[in-house]
Amino acid sequence: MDPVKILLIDDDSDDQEIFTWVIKSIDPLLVVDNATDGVQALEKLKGEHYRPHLIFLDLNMPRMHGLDCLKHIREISWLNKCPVIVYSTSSNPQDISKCRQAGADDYIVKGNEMSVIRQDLSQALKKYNPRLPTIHE
Amino acid sequence: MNKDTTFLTDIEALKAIGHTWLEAIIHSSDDAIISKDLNGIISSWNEGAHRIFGYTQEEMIGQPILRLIPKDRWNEETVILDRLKKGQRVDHFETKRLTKDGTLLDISLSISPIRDRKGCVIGASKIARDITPQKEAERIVAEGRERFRKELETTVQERTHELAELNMRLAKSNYELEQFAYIASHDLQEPLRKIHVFSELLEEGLQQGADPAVLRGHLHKMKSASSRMSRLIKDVLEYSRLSRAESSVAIVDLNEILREVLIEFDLWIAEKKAVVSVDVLPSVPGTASQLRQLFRNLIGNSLKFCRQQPYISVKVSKALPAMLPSLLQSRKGISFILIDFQDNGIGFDQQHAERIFAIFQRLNSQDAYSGSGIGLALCKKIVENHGGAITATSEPGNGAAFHVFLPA
Repeated sequence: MDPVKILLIDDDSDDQEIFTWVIKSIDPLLVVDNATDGVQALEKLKGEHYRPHLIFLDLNMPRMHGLDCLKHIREISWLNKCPVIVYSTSSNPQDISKCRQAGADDYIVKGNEMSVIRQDLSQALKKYNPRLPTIHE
Repeated sequence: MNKDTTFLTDIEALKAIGHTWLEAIIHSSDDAIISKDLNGIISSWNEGAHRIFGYTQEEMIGQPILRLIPKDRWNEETVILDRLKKGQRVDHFETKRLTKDGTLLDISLSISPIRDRKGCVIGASKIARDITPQKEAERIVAEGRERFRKELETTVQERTHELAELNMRLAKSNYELEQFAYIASHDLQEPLRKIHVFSELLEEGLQQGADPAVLRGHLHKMKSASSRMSRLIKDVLEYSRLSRAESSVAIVDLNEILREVLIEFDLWIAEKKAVVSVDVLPSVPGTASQLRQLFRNLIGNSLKFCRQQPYISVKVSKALPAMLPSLLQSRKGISFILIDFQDNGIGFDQQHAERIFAIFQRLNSQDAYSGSGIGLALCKKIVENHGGAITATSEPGNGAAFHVFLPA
């Protein structure tokens, strides 16, 4: 069976590192892939052979804003069933509703503490992971 | 000789020509004292009347009083006679009367009925006072009041206008401050978050006996995050300081400014093998420290956002009115110079040309090109402090040009 692949689209390398660390600590079998902005992400995703099981998407990125990237992702037919979770520092209600309307399955505000980040991400994995992982609380 | 003596002498003189004491009083009065019968025919005419109206006694006795009254006021005589026949007085009636030479005088009339022994009204005694000087004074006061009222109104209007403008500026300033505070606090949260999270990771790593290299990596991230915060705070302070009007304005030699900035960057220029070509620049009125900051930010950006050997040029020309950005179009009577900063760096999409001057806006990720995103916002503030404007043109991959307009 293919390992579960998670794609994180985020320009901040620190956030990439933290994310990967936490996901791996929840389930070491999960594969975390990175794209540094929306343009790079879409290049990857438009190749039919690249099928992540779950996408986490930041909003404030250079070259293409996360919301636009989200809209493009939702136009890709073979990714219709792939959950897209917006993962951003913005807690602006307008951002949240725009993302929902554009087809995001969920919206998580990036936590400031490890415990919060771990909780948020493990809950997200429980909810959206096609295969139940072993959750380390 | 005192007044009383003069008076007595006059009386003596009058007595000498046959006047009684009372006649003398009437004749020496400044006011016109006239008597008439109920048909309005004049029966007595004093010196005062002569002086005021110009007619002699001989000319007026037996004449109708109407000779003194302007045609448009003849009805007054009818009203006056009516009252007199009823035995009523007329007190301090302000009106106008004609003199012998046709002048219209402002007059105050007091008229009382004359009765015979039986008590029947047989005529009227009229005292007319020339109130022209009084009226003139009243007119001057009224004019003065009107002028004052108009001036007051103008001043109030001006002040109201000034206040409205001030209010607008305050509202704008408040709005900018709110935006600024929001963005600053938001931008400060990012590095703070990193410091917190990496310190927690460091703690966990220490407990779990992780590889020192990994732990050092966390520490390094914390340090660079705190540097970002301190740079951001420094930039924020600098930006807010710029909002205040500078007191030290002088004629600044821009060649000197450019020279100083290039010296600041000499190591970097040597490292990148940058080539900088400059025109001879003029001197402009301004604040040297701010203009230096402007040049520093623009040249620094050209050096930073360049992946190859940087070619930077600084050219100056006279700004033709057609070239001026809309912000400056309304500034009549001021001539502007245009300084073009051109580089061969990564450039940017022209659609972002205005956004890049907004505070804390970065087009690139922190990892690719470090910076707080305040540099161009500072440039804009500085240029606007000097009464100018700044615009940019670019194409991704084809360098960028920054157009600085400054009053000459």
